[in-house]
Amino acid sequence: MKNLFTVKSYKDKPGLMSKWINVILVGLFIVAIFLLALASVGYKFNWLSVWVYRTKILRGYGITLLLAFFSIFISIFIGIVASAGLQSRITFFRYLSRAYVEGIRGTPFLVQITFFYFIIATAVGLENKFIVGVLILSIFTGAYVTEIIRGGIQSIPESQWITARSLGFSRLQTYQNIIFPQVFRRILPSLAGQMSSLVKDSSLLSIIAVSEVTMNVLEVNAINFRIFENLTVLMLGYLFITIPISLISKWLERKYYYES
Amino acid sequence: MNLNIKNLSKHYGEEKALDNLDLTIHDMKSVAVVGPSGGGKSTLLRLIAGLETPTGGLVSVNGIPIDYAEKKLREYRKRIGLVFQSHNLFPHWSALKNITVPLVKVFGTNPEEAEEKARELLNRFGLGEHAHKLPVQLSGGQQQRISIARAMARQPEILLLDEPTSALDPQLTKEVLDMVIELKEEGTNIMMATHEMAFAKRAAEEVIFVDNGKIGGQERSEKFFEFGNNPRLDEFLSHIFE
Repeated sequence: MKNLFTVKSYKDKPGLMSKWINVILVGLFIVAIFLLALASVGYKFNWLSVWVYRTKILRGYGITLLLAFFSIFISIFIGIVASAGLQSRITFFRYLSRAYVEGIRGTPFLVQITFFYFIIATAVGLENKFIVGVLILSIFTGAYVTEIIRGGIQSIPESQWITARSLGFSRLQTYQNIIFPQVFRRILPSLAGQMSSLVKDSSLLSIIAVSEVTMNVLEVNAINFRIFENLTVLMLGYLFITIPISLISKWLERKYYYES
Repeated sequence: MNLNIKNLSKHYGEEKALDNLDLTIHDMKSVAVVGPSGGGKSTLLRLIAGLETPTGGLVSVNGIPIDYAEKKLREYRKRIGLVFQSHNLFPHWSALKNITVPLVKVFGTNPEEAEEKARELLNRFGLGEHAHKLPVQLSGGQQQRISIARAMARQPEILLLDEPTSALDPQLTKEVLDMVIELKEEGTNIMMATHEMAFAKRAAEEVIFVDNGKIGGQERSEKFFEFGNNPRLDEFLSHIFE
């Protein structure tokens, strides 16, 4: 009986039975709190009021998925380039990368979106809002990815560089074969966290009217005024993306496991 | 092996790790490098391995002077096998891959051939059953022996060993030293920095004493350990046999 609810140490995994019982318990606990709170407020849900706008919301959801999909790849690409810049022997690139990381991480996303959209995108004649959205989101997330990758590279002991050199590997070969595979494994958890943030951050693009899911739900809200139903749908929509990201990351961590 | 070193210096800022060192090794199979820690043994081996560039001086290996331009060094390193005190193996690769990948990437050997070669080496040194284990699953002695096997895979002109047993307990030390002796008997040219004096005496033809960034003594191993020729060496040896 005791084994159903506790494990001996935090490193132990609960059994299958115990796992599902506890998953259900946690689920019930969370739902119960919400229901109790709602009962005391006296709010009556009317799900039909959102259901009628399902096509509009789903269309927005599709845009959010696409935004996230492209931005994940581009932001990781930017992160790789900028982290290489941080380690560059050319001082200009080093400072440029540093300025990028500090500038992006130190200012509100809202401000960046506004400047990028109204000034830079306009100046270069970029009108497609989806593309602008992907670019802003990638540039924003890329700064965080840069720091994650830099930390990962620095966590590889110097001895591996020296050994690689003594074996005759070039710098590029060392990165490709020895450093990056290990860095990838080490940074997976923080990278997955950052990608989940990216998905959620995409909601801010609604301020420049990128027609993603948050924007569409807010528009629905302006018609039906059922804010709690609308936001519940929105919340579930994001969870449907962020939970798989987390699961994929855990799966990859196991697949590339090499340290005890 | 033949080594010809003239006026070799290596400075790290103010510190002179090697200071105008001269050394000639003529037609030797096995050389032990002994001396106090921080005396310059490691630096000497790293310069011979082409892993670092000297502040000044010349090193010739088997009659060919080392060109210390980085591009040339990469070619040169293919001729040399080097094993450090510890952490030689890449943790994300199995023992087998640790041997095959350098062959494939650095030498352009085709993967099947590299694997055959690696397996042959591992089997020869009784490591065959560990081929697919990750370094973390192996003992320190096994890791060092696999590192030596990796260095041997390139059929080096010289196998340089930088205190390969200093991080090991006596049992594992013996296991590694036995392998070194086996390689020596098969005709591998070995130069090894070590604190294992008994081993140096038994296995090396010639022993070099490196002290204060210079050669403090050089003798055939049967004569090297006699007292009374060299005060600094006597002092060093007296600490060992205390």
